[in-house]
Amino acid sequence: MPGTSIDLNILKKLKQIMDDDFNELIEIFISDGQSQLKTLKAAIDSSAASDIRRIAHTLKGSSANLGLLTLSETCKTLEYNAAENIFDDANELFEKIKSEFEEAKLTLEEIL
Amino acid sequence: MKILIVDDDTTNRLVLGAYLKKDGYTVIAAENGQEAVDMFQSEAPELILMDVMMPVMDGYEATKKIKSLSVEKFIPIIFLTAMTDEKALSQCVEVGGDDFLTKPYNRVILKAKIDALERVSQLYNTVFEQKRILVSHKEHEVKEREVARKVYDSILTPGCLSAENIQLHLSPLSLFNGDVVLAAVKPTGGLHILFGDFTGHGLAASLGALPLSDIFYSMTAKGYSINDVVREINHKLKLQLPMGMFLAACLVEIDINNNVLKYWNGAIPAAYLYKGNSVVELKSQHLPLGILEDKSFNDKVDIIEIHDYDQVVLSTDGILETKNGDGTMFGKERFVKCLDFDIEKNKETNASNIFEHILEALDDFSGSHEQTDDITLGVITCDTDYINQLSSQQGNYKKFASSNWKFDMHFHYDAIKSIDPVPLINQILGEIQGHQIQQNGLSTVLTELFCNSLDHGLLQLDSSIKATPEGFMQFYSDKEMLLKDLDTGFIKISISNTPTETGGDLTIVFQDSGQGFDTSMLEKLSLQIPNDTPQNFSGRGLSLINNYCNSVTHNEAGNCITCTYSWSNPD
Repeated sequence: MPGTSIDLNILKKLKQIMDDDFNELIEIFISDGQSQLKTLKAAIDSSAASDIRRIAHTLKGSSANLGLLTLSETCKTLEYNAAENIFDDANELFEKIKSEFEEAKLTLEEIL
Repeated sequence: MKILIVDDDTTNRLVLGAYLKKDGYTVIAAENGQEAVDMFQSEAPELILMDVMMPVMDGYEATKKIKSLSVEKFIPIIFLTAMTDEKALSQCVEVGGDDFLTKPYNRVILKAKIDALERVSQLYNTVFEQKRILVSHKEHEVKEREVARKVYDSILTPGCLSAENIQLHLSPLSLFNGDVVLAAVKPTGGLHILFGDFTGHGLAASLGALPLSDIFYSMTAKGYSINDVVREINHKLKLQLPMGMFLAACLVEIDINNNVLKYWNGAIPAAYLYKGNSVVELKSQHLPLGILEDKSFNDKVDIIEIHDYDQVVLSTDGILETKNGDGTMFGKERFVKCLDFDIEKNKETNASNIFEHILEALDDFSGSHEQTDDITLGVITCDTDYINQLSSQQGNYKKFASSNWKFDMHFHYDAIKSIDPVPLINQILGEIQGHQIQQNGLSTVLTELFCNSLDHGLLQLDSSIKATPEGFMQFYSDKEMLLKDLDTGFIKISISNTPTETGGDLTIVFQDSGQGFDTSMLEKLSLQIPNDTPQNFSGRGLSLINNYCNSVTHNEAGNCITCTYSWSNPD
């Protein structure tokens, strides 16, 4: 995957431990992620700093859990900027998050 | 172990839950802080993994609430947060968080942290449980002390420990150390004192104090001698006390009629007669009470001549075992040294008497001025006039109607060896006419009459040898030997009552099988010795009888004496 780092080891271990639940995990991550992206876009459009921060924080954590390191890092940048009330590159970061999420989604669907 | 995961993100809950289940934990989950607080109360998890940022109620608030709900039990809370935010971390600790965990979760680290906190939790809960037990023991002890105080009061009230000739250091909690002190006045005039030390500590040590005081007071009131009292106490304690529990005790009788001190000491380490210029140890020659069976128990008392203002000094082992800063014990040697002390000549001390002097010496030795509960010390002064006064103050008697009656008693030589008739007669008289009849020396009269019949009638002892202190001792040891070998003879006692307006006139007759004496000598003797003087112990008996009786007559043979004695009911 160009430009995107995904820790496949983490994913493999998770799959091993969770067995059938792994599929559910991935499905939930993808569906939650998609709705979180929508809410995040709306928050950025209205410059709602605390909403941006909270959603970015959640997505940061859940992506880290699945070994989606690049996505997690980008979310973290957005979360921290929002905490400092910096919105300059919010849209740029959102686009980055969105494309990284799509890439991750492809990888995850492959593993299923 | 049941673990509660609190996180608003489903994937986080799933991942963590999967790890924990794999390691064998029971997992429950909440989606926000409020749910976590509710679940904590309903599900009682033993450990909580807590996210910080959550809707409805965040992790800080939830942690605060849960910690305040679990003061009696340690519930570890691990915060799920990035270790990078210092401010957030410090807030986690402030609200009561116990550890942190960062994403992505590492299963090994997670397990290690849970294990570590589980150990802390176990330790905390053990300590907490021990503290709870300790508190309940403490409360129990306070209650026991209360009981001990009540027992203490109930056993001391009937006695005469507050008498002016008794100086006593005895804590109300002394029973907790097993120490007990009893004192009572004899109806014959004289004082019984018991210094005891039960084995063991706590309320159990005072178990025997109630039967002990019952026997002591009731037998003393009936006029029994300490050898009878001590035998009965041993009998009762042997029956009632559990194995391994017994009573070290020293019983002392101050017999003011004969100017002697009788004592029986079973394992009380410090018992002395302080005579101002010399000290006699009242040595322990017996086992403690409650150990021996009746047949092997020895109730033999030792007898010492006393003078007015001699003092009996008694102490349980608390004083001897008092330690100074170096851990050295006060010990018997120092105690005895305290007694080698002449108050008149020693101006260095503030103490005005031997009692204060001993306590002062103990303070100096231990370096502290706090007398502990363990110390029991008594000094009893042999003050004839005062003790006489005590016995006449005794009792509040019920009025009995005086009536006509007569009883005879016949004691053969073998009965005399084991029975003291005086308490028996006292008891009968008390039953018929009430105990007021014993006021004003009746018991003394009976005791003297019996002693005369026995000593001079049956045993043919020569009382003139009592004139010297050595002879005095000789007299008592001769008496013991002769009584043991006695193989013939009797004493007949006859007592009758004739009612009068205020009470009654008793006619008391003592007759013995002895050879009698030359009664004409009596008149000369009474002329020679108009009053008692301390040098003439041998004259004391008859003049005492004369003092209390309206008339005293002898038969010609000199082996039968008839006295009349008047008694009156209380107004």
